[in-house]
Amino acid sequence: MVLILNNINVSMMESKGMISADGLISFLVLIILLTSFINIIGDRIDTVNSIDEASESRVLGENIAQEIETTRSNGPGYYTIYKTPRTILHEYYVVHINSSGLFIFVNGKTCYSFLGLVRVTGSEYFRDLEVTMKPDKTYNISNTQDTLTNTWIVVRELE
Amino acid sequence: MDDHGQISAEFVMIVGIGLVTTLIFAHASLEAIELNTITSTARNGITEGIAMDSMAVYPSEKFKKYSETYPRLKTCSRVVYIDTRCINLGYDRTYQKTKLQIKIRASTPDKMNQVEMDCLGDRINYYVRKNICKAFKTEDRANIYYNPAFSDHYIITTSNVEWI
Repeated sequence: MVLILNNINVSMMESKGMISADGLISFLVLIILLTSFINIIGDRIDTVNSIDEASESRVLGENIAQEIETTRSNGPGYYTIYKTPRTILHEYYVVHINSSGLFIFVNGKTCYSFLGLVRVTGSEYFRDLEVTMKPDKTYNISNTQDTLTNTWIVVRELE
Repeated sequence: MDDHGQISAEFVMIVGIGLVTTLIFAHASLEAIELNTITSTARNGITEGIAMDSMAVYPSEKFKKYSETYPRLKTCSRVVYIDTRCINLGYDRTYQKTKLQIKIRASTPDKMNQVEMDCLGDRINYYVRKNICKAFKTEDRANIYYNPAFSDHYIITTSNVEWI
């Protein structure tokens, strides 16, 4: 490749400003090589983006699950603030938490993160046993006890 | 070019021989390019499939099935790629194209039963076929599982991943 580029730079043009035959052939070979490379590179970039999206989903799921577990293990009164990212690789996503665990739905794919035995609710009155988190929002995740001293993790959206 | 701007006879002969040689080898070259594209896109598909298996990120309908039947697959798995073989199965009269079969070998240090490993293998094979269809823009000709996948002159199937 270096030789071809050298060839084009040094000897493609003669002193009279004419393009030499070997320079022209080198240029054509370069074009053919680049065209085939572009296809391979394009496919590889699509693959990398797809893997990037999956890994970002996995990291986000594990981060939120970790925040919930930390809040639970620190006992009643503990709270933390968590801001969800704007997108996952330019794609809209939804985080759904219920007694089964934490699910992330992005671009037709689902990613699951395990949550220990914990009651998660979005309501201060402990009504719902599920929470939906949306992109680019700030949430207060707190450890609260009800009148029967059951521990609840309350996830509330902050204005 | 000489000083009078005329092309020399040698140059014309060289270009002529070059053209003839190119035409003779064009068919073989195009076939080699197509096979090369199939191999490289299959490799991309394997990378994608293994990454998805490793991170346990599945299409929603597959995730639902795995949650109900194989809950082990909801969490991350370690998958190690070993190698790929491409077998020519000869001319297929139905599709009127040459049939290729891609056979992948992989291993996992995780404890899983054969059915669960086959599910992981299915994900890898799915991404292999999908990537081939995308590269040759034949998604509209294939079914939703891209099975078989089509290139310009070949139909490509995948056999179950061999777990070692």
